[in-house]
Amino acid sequence: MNSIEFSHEEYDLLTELINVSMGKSAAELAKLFNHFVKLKVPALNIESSEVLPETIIKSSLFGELEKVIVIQQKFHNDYSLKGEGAIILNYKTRQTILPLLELTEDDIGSEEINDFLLELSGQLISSCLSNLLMEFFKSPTTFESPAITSKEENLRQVAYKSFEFGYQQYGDILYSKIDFIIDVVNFQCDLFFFIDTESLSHLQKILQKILEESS
Amino acid sequence: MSLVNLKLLTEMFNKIDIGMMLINEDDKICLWNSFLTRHSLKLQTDVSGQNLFDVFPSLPKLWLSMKFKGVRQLQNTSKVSWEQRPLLFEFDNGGTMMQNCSFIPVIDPETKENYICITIQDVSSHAKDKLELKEILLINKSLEEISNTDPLTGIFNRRYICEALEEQVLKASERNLKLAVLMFDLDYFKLVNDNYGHIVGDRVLKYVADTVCGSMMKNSSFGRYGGEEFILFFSGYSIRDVQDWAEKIRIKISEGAVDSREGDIHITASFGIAQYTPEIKDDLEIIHNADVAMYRSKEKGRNRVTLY
Repeated sequence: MNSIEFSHEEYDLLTELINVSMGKSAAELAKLFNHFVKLKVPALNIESSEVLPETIIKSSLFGELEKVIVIQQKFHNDYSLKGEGAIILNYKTRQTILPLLELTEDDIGSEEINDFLLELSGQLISSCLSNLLMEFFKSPTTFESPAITSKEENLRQVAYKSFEFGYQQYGDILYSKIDFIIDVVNFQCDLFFFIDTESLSHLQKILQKILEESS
Repeated sequence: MSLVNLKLLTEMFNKIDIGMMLINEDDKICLWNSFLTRHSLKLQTDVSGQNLFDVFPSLPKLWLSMKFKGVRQLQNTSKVSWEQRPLLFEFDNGGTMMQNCSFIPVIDPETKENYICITIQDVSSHAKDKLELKEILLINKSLEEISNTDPLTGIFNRRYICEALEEQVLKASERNLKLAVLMFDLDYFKLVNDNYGHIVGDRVLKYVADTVCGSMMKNSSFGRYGGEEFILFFSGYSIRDVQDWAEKIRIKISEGAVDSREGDIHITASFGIAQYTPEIKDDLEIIHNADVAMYRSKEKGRNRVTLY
């Protein structure tokens, strides 16, 4: 039993808003990368963060014991809504970054790929979240610098170690999973959003207001 | 009518202690404030209309061009911290300035032309402090790697205890052995550090470690998990035995005290216990379960033992 429950109508509205904003983001990102971008939202749920590690493992595109790279980026909208975006990808996908950006190994060294990876991740997270949060807030969303938080561990280790939210860890978290796929260059990654416990009731109030206004 | 005029805005733009410039869609500099003049020794008139990459030839053009493309198309601010790129903009005034930079999309409301406002914040002193701390942490980490014990408390360190637990989980799964993990965290420890200082805080940690060490059961191991968090594992005991032991230790810790100049300091701890079951795949999972139980103790009011 979660401490905050969204009604069916609230969930439906949120799902609808996410789908609309992902459509916008896919179009924006396709323009940016010159490739058709697929953004699928297979999961949107409020969960206790106690079960978050297993949820991440189950919903990831990657195998439990596969070595992955994790990029995390915090965001807030005037502090009334706070959360974190995370990109998970494997080393095979890392190799597809250069063709995706229309670069070759002559352009940049392997060391520099991480800089491009960070940039790319920041663009994915900020595009998806800005479009979503624009549905709720007039003010722009602030994003912290993205950071690579793990590159030596497997998905299981990452799921248990990297997604800690301090004391809020054991509260409820709105969790959304997005599959990000660009078929042409075989680029695919997990994109997770977590919205923290404190922000949930705020989000719910906004959803209720939109529903009231539309009824 | 506007409350401020252009001269006043310009005055503010030049007084602000942050580098600010505006570049157009061709990366040509349109605005440049006094902060940048002071540090680059170039006047606005010198750089106006010049390409950013010509004014700063050491900039990583490929990467930054990708960033600019994203900022212009997605209309989102992008940030680069000093941790990622300590010296993105190299200045000619001789100093080394660690920087936090922001790239903010700006659209001219009249012409709808796309610009990027670049801000450069000098974070050298903050970065220096953080780098020194990082260096100390790195030294401590390398010491930890060659040692099995925590230097402050003398008990096992996190690396060693987790490796030992990994082996125990493997044994428990192969031979169907009993295994339990206990984690505990000191309540309101931050207040101890804030009110009495870190030296007293360290003595509290030592007191707790000594109290537990004095009551250890056979076939159990004890280590510091990090900060004020401790971990134990017990092989061959029923969950009831471990729970009884934890209760005794909880009472013992809460009944003792650490003396300080300001008087006795009393401390309590919140405990969580998880038992190994065949469904548990590894040490990560059983630690997580014990951790969850420990936070449930915190939620229920602290100073208690909770089973997962």
